[in-house]
Amino acid sequence: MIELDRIEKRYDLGEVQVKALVDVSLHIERGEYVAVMGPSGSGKSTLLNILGILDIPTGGNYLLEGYDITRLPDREQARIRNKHFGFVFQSFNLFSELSALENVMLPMSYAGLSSSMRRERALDLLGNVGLSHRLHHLPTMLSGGEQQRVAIARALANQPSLILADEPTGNLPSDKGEEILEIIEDLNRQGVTIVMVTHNEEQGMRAHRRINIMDGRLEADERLVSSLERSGA
Amino acid sequence: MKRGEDLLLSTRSIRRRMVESILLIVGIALGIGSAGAGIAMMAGTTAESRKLLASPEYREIVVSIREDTADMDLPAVAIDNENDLVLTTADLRAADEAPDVQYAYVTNRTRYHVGDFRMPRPGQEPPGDPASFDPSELPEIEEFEGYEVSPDFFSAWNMQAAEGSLFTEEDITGGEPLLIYGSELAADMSGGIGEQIVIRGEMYTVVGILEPTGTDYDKMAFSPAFMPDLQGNDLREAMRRSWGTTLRFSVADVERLEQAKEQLESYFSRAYGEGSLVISIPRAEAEAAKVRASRLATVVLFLAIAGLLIASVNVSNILYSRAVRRHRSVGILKALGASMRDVFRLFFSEALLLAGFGAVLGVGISLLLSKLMESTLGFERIPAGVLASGIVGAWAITMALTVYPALQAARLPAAEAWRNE
Repeated sequence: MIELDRIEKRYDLGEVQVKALVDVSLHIERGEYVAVMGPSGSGKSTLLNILGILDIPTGGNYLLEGYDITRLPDREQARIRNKHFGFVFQSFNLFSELSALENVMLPMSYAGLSSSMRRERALDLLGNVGLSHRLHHLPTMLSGGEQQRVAIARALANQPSLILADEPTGNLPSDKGEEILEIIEDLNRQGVTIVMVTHNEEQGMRAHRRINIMDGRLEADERLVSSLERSGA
Repeated sequence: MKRGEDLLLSTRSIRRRMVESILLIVGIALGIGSAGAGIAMMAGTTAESRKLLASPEYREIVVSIREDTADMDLPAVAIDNENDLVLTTADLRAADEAPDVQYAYVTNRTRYHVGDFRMPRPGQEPPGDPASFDPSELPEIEEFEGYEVSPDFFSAWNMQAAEGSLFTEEDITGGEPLLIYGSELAADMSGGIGEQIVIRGEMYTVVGILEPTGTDYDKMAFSPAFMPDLQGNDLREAMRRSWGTTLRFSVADVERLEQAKEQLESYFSRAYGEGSLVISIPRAEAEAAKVRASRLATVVLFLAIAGLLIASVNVSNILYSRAVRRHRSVGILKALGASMRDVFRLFFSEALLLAGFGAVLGVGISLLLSKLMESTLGFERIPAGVLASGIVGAWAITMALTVYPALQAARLPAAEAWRNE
């Protein structure tokens, strides 16, 4: 599904040049559950930005389903982000001026869905994350866990094949974090590819595969026993 | 993104930043309002100057023995005692030697003091015994203004009689005290043709009422000018009773004013000696005044447009800083699938809404200021089209300057969404 070939990302800060990613090659198959780990400033978020085409690598190739998508025009890249990727952020990043329902409907408007279809699908998605009773609440009226569930519903709005999550439980108490993680794992069981940045060793161990980034370099890439296999299912 | 979502996000964003939004709207309104008013002033000044120059007064060449030719209150016959120079109404014949002159006449400003005696017009009840006359039955008007004029005056000023007739040469030479009322004065005096009225001890008969002209002449009266030479009196004696004469010659084509002046100068140089009279063209001064007014209006317009630009640049800066402050929102929108074009449209929609509210307020300010100009500067109603085009132009400038912040917002990197994660 995803093929990163010797990806490099440099930032020119005047006379200083910062290498955020160096020679990163990575292959991610459809349906994988990948945890990206590493200390702060190691390049995890930069890798996630490049995977989500929110940032363009300064070197190397990024192939999605065999196509080099880094050279596509802005409109085409936006369409791919909208249709194929779902983003879940540590601090939820909901629009505070929109209700839960409107937040979930928003990505569907870029996909050109009709208003009635957007509403119908958003109602379904919010129902799936247990927020049918919070449809018209603004984010400020929701708890952290509820906000993250709205964010997940929003990420799933256009039925993406890849969810990119950056520490999705980082701002939540452990019980709420666990709920979010279960939703993510459930999505993976339904075939959605997950790439999740986390600092949490335990969460990292629950993925199928763990990638370690250190100083912008891929230090380790190990396949783990999945929770499903662990439970003997 | 659909327009509906643009509008939803824009209105919510405006509501969320209410104080800042109100300041932006006020800034836009003041910019548009001042530019609209500046254009209205320019249009009003131009129209007013055009109207002023279209007045018959500015088709005239004024001949006087006095240097102060701008003084309109000169009586009919003048003597320059020092040089024993006499200018009489007979000199109106100079027009015969000036082919570009259409009319020749005199106009002497005067006041008519109404006496305590009025006669009805023919067919009305007689007033009875003058001894039992009740002054309270008279109109309250005790005095009105007007002009002593020669017959050509009415032709030159294109004034027509609504009732009765205008003065003829016979009226002038007959020496009868006659009166013509302006339309409003006639209504106020409640008299009519044939009414007799005592003015300065003489019994004047009303022979005509003028059509309304829309000028101050409607409130005035006109009587035949004192033209002693035409009346066959002893000229020298008549001159002893007189104070000064200003002769007026008007042309059909204002482009021929200079030529007509030269023709008159030739006559008067021959008759009185070169340079002995002042022959002037009031239009020249009026045109100079028009140029001054036009320059002043241009300066005001420049200041108004400068104000609009300063307001627009400030609005643009505030919108830009607003966009930068919302870099995270831009990043999130892009992560959700918004293209640069979508982001541009969203921010532009917001600017459009703010500019729309500002424009509505600006139109109000423009209308208010143009009404103020109409009432205080005496402008005629400023054409709605001129005002509208000014407002639309000002709004377009404001909108053009809001393109930049919207473009900058669209160019914000998508990766901003993850910053500070």
